[in-house]
Amino acid sequence: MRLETRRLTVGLLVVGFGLLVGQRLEAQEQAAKTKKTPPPSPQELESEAPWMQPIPVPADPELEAQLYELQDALKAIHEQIVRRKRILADAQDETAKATLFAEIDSLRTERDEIESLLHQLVNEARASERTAIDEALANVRMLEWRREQLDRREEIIRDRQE
Amino acid sequence: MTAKSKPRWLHRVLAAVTCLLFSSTPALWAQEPQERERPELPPLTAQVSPEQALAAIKRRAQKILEARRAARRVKFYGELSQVLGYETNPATASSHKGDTYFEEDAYAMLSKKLTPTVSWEGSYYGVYLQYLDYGDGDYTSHTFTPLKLKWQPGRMWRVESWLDYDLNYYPTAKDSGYRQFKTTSRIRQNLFGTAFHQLQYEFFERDYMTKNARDGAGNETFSDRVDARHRLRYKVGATVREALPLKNALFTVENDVYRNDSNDARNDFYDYDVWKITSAVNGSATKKLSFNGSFAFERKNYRERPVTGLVAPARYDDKYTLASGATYNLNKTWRAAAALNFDHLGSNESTGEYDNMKYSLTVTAQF
Repeated sequence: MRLETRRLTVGLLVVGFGLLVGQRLEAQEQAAKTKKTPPPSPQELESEAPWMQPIPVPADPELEAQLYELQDALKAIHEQIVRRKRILADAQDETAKATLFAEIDSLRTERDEIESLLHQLVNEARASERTAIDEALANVRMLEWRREQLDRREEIIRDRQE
Repeated sequence: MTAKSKPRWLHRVLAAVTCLLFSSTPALWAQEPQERERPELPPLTAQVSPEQALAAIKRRAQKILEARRAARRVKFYGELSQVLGYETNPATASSHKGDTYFEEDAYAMLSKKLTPTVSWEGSYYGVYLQYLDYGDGDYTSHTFTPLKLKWQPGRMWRVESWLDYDLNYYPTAKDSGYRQFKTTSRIRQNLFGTAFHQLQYEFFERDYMTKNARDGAGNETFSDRVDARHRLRYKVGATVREALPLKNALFTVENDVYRNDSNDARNDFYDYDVWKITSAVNGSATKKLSFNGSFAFERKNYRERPVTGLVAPARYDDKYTLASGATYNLNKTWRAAAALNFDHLGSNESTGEYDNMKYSLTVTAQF
């Protein structure tokens, strides 16, 4: 009987502690939710732009150029979105607001599509990434071929001397 | 005018035309390499309507997609070279007799990306060489590489494998002509972005089409002479950004062992084991001018080949090769190169020893 009472007391204490901690955590969460966050500034948006991260250098220079081009295109869309958001903040007319919302949605869709294309190309670039070694070895490829050709020529001539 | 002298005149005319072409186009020397142009962004400013801006971006994305599809198409690369050279001892004989040679090279390559990491290459390399007097050295060589596969899974590993078919024809010394099937596999690991090491294995079978194999007594058999060779190469190298006076210099050292077996049994002239070490450096002095140099030592141990006046040991040869060269890129199409190559062969068979110095000037057009 004493054992059961102890178990019951420990159990109640654990549940009570859990309730206290839970209440405290909930209160913190509520406080965080009610706290108003200021809208991100254009500078913040700019700094968070994911496509501005450095890209890997692919083996294909054409692919490299396309990656930069896509980054530029995304930057341009991003600027358009930020500009519309600024206008939206000052807009009073409901019709103008609706138009701006529609434009921002459309720009976002385009951004997502182009970003997806950029990711595909970045993956392709990562797979074909070229190092300084690849570049240097490609430069001496024909030279090595010529040296081998000279060796073969000399070997055949030497073979004739028995 | 003999039948043989006709092509020599042709060579001279070709060389003269090449020289004329170069001397008459000084603008080529001054031309700077063109930088890659990138189309300008559309002016996405307040004056441009969102519809226009979106349409421009869409068009551009579409172009990029089309370009990516184009990148998967078959690509072509080619080179044509004219070489003018002089050798002090082309016959590699003890008695030196120098000679001038003309050589025309043609290289064509097709490549296609099969997947983002796997690509295919097929190529042809042709050489047509002719000496002024040493007719036994004249030859035509065709190398076909129908299948070369490259796998590049990331920055670190490079795996390549290919198949070569060679056809060498000597119009005067017909016995030296051969056809050869060769297979090569290579694996390379790039380390820290600036260093690498690679292992390469080669095997070939060379069939001398107009030369019969001999038995031990020296009598000709009914079979062609056929050589087989297994070769293993291990190479290490590193690039150094500034190695005065060179920039982006590549230093390499290669160890190379191979075993040649022939069905010709006469004194086992063609059965030998070779160990070779080659060190090389390549780098650019300016944007257009680059230099290269190499030193190689090769020990060839014949398994049975007797030495005059000796019962044992078998013959061995030590070959030292010193090579250097400079290449000047005139523009994207043309380049000129000068090369110097010195061979010295030492041997326990004194009659086989020789020196040979080669000088060459090459003009290449790539497209």
